[in-house]
Amino acid sequence: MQTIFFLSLLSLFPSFLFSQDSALFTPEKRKAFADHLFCEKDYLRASEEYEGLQSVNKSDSLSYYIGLCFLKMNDYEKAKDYFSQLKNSSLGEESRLLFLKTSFLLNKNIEGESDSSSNQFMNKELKTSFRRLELAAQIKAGMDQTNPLSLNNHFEESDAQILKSFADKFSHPNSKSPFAAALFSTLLPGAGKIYTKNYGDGITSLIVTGLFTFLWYDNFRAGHPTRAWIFAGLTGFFYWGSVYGSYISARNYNLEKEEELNNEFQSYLSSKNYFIPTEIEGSCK
Amino acid sequence: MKIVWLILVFSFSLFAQTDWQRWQRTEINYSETVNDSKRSYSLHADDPFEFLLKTAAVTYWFFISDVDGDNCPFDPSCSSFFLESVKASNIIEGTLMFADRFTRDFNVLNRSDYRVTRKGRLADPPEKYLLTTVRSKVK
Repeated sequence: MQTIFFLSLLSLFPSFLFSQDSALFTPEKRKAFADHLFCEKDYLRASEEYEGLQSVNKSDSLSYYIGLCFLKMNDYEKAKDYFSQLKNSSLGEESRLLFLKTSFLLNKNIEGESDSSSNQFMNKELKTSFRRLELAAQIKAGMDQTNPLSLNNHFEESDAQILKSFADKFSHPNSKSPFAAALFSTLLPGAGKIYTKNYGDGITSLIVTGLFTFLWYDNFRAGHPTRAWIFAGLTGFFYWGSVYGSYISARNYNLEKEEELNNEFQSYLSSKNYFIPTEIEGSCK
Repeated sequence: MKIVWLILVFSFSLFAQTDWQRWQRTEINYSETVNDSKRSYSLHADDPFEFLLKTAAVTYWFFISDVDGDNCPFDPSCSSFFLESVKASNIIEGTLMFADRFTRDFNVLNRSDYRVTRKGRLADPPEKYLLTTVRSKVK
């Protein structure tokens, strides 16, 4: 019994010897760990560590990094809250720029935000970034005041060209008129769907409506009025379905094109990091 | 007593961290899964007109559709689509949506235009065809 008791104690003590040292949880080490997680792109756990530190020792730098974590995790609402709190802090310029970026990503109207903030930049590079992002937002909103001269003044020539093409697409979208589509299908069933490049459904609609129209006519001619009325009803059913379907097809076509253009623009801006210097989004060695 | 001590000692090993399952980044699947809708055979309705429609639909499902087999390539099926369309809009708009769906059902060459549900059906919710549609539903 004594031997077992002794052996048990012997096996327990090494566990205590290697137990965690409380010095591991000093704020400095925790900050270093949070920075490590941030650089490893583990933004969820990094934000938890920064928030833990923030509850002990509040600082602008921690709020800034928490905002960055949420920005990287695409939680723009939370990121925006953190950056808006820092507008008048020592990290005010960077925060204002990132605040504008989150507003842009949230598809918010940034006109009001930018007007009051654009003159508050001492750093020339950040001011340029701010102006560029502001112009990008104007392009997305399809505003006419995004004149080519302004784009040439603020962007490299290659970027200005691309942005001009985007500005043109946003202000003059290649959309289809739902009313025209419905009208075309009124004149010829399925024509509206063909107009919205929905060729298969358009031709099907023409064939189906045409077939029932023929059956309606043929049964009347052959002296079968009951059957003729049934086919007349079916003709009307598919005819008006085609008119309605064409209207919806054009509406959906426009929504899809709009989404495609938005995604294309977002992808281009993302490749340029929204014209924001990468240094202000957390430096990792 | 011996057993108690042994359990105590071994419990440390049992709850120790394992080294053969290291923490690592999970492979994320970004493809959206679309769940299939289920038919409700309940005759519960908010108004008499809806009750009539549901009765007709349930009768059709019970005596024809279920007996005929699983033929409709869409989800929801055409009959369910009609019920949902009328409920989401009104009898006229719902009927027009149903006529449009029926025409699309004839076209066997457009199957790649739709997202596919878990059970391999073509996802085609009525929300996509409402006049007052929600933008996010149009996919």
